[in-house]
Amino acid sequence: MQTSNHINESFIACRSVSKFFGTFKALDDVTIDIKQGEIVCIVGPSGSGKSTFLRVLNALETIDNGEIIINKVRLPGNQKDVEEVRREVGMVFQQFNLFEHMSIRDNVTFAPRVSRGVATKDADELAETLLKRVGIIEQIEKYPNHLSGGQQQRVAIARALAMKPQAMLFDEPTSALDPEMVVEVLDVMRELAHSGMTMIIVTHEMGFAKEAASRMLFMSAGKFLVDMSTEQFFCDRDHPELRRFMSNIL
Amino acid sequence: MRFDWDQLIRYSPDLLQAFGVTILISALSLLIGIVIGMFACLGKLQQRGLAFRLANGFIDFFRTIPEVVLIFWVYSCLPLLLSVRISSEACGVIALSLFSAAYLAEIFRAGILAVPKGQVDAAKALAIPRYHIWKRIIIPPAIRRMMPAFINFLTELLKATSLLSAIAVGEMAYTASILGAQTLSYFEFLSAIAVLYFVLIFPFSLMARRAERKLLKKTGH
Repeated sequence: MQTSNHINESFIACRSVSKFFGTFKALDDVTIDIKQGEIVCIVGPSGSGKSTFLRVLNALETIDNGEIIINKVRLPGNQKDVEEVRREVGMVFQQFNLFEHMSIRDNVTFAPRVSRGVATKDADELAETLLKRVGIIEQIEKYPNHLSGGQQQRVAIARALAMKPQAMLFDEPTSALDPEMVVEVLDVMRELAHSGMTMIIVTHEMGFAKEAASRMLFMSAGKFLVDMSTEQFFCDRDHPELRRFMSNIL
Repeated sequence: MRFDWDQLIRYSPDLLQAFGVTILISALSLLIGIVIGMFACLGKLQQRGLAFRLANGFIDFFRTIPEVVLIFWVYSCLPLLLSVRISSEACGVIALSLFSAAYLAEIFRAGILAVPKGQVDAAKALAIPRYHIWKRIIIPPAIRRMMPAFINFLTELLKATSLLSAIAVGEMAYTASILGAQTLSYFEFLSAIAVLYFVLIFPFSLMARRAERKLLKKTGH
């Protein structure tokens, strides 16, 4: 194998991706490349297709047109391809979606055990390391409903990381949280960004985006209208729709 | 009017045996009903296609026709159709199994659909294989959610066995009416089986209520 310029290759490549819900066009001919190590924040009005975009990247929604290539695997694909993509791409949801009937430990160890074949002992060690990293190690034997929203979301991040993914998708990870808990989740995400993880984040937290993102996307009506470096994005106010959106949110 | 305990005591072995028949028929019907009901439920969860249409038709049909009609049909028509002899007990089990399958399919389905979709999304996103998603993510919480309805159905099934007296299955209701006719002690025997049914069924009603309270506390809705 040659010493390739692997770092410059697209980790995620979308080509003319469209997604319909009935007659509603949620994604409209989206073409975009995301490289390894990029921290991409997606902003835009609700209903513009941001969540749908993340969900098609993880094959939680099938696409109606175009193709997505993630880590050299093509979507749409068969069940094996889908699972291969999902192993490399973790996802964090707005509503945490922890497995309600499993302890925090089992929430984190379950996927590595059954979908990566990690031995229970190793999965346990990994879970402890990750839960220390997100600051929840004391709660390891508790159940999700005994934890605060912020704690649950940090467990959800640890659970996704336990699969050792190459990229992480965050779908409004702080939108369901009380204000005082937003910080603890953003801190974990910031630390993850510094560790070099490829991240795609749908968020309304402009302060976090400005500080952590390397690239900003603005989505409206199923299209990326703006695709800029973060510095550019926060100075550039020429785009009328973006300006309107930003003045509403800031 | 005097309550004749002697008659009751004299025929108590017959009543006890009938009690056993009631339980045995309920248990068999429940077991077969669970198996068929699971397939019908899986069919209906497909939402389209042949399996769905078959399951949907099956469920609609057996939930709609009166149980007594079903029982008479299985007893009088099925043996003609298949040209075999079927004992009335077997007919009873067949009819109540079909009845159970149709109701249980809907109970199972409601339990499965009540599992939040986000749980399944999260499991899929973690590349958890489909078999494990069913086994660990969907079925355990679904069972907890369907428990109150399931136990309630069990009480309905136990009561429905008394309808089998119409085809002379020796369960409690039939036995009591026969003993009543023979001894003219209707009052004693019918009162006795009323008590027996109550003793048999009421604990399940309590269990259903407790399961419901527990579920309410756990899920908050």
